[in-house]
Amino acid sequence: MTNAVARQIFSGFTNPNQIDKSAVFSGCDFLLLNALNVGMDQYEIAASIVIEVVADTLYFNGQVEVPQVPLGTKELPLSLPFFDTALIVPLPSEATRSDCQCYICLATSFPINIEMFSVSTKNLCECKDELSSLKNDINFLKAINTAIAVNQIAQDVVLLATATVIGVGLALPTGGTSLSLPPAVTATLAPATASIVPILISAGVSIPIPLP
Amino acid sequence: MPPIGFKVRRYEDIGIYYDSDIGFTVPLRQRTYKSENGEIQTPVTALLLVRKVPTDCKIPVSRDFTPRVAIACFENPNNLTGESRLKVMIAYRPRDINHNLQIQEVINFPNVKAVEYTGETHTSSIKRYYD
Repeated sequence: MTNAVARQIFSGFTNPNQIDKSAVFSGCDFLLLNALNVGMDQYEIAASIVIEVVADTLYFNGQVEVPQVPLGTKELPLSLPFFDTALIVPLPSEATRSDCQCYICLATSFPINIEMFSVSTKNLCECKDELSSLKNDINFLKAINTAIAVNQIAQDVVLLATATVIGVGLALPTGGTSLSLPPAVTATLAPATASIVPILISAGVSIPIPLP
Repeated sequence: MPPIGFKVRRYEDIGIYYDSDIGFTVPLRQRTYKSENGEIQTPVTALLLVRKVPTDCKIPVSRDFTPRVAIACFENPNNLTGESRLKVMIAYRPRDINHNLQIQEVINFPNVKAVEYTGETHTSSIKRYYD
């Protein structure tokens, strides 16, 4: 687990007949592009970053526009080819620190298969989500452990009962001095132990253990 | 509305052991441009590929000097000039017999219409190479 998070904002083939638009993101530190299915090859891509400026707006007459009003969609000029699937694409602080929503526009002359991520440090909300998810996992595992322990006790009871039945059964023909089990007893054991097997299987299969 | 009409260029970066005119040998980065379907466009020929650096590492771009290059001209109706010019390093120093042979390979590369050549250029002091 790291303190960074990479959100996918684009995935799939670009369309050369139109401008491809990524999902919106905000507060991200840099972008990452991956070229898919072209082996060691990379792409230089023409792209621009667009910022949708939405803010609590204070006017000269003292009027405050809340909720936020859109102030326009502006573009940040970036040197080209700035977007390259081999490079980390740094973003200017206007895009990273304003918390305004941004998106990427791509213009490609032929379809390319790429994925794009916005990378940032995790914020407090995400850390809380992760923590509660971990707590849930721990509780779930505790429940499973209890179930397994209960099952174990049940199995012990069954085994003890089986052993008692066999012991009683053997007492008559051997006069209580049996040391080794005759073949007939092994046959008696088999169905008794078989009744435990479904309990074990159901314990293993019906409880899915979530991966961390 | 963002500007439109830009392009995509598919490429692969490879490392090449480059013999400088002055005498040292360094690994340099050669960008190999390819077509949409992966067909190699930059005239990377056999004599250049034997100088390939066997590594997956990123090779930093040298800013100390400009290596000697052959510039291969191709017809390209998509460009305003009607041509595209792709640079390829000549890895061997001029007194090496392979120097001319590699240039010959570039000239013979498919669809190459013309080849220009520029020599190695040092814009910072070369005194340190002789210290």
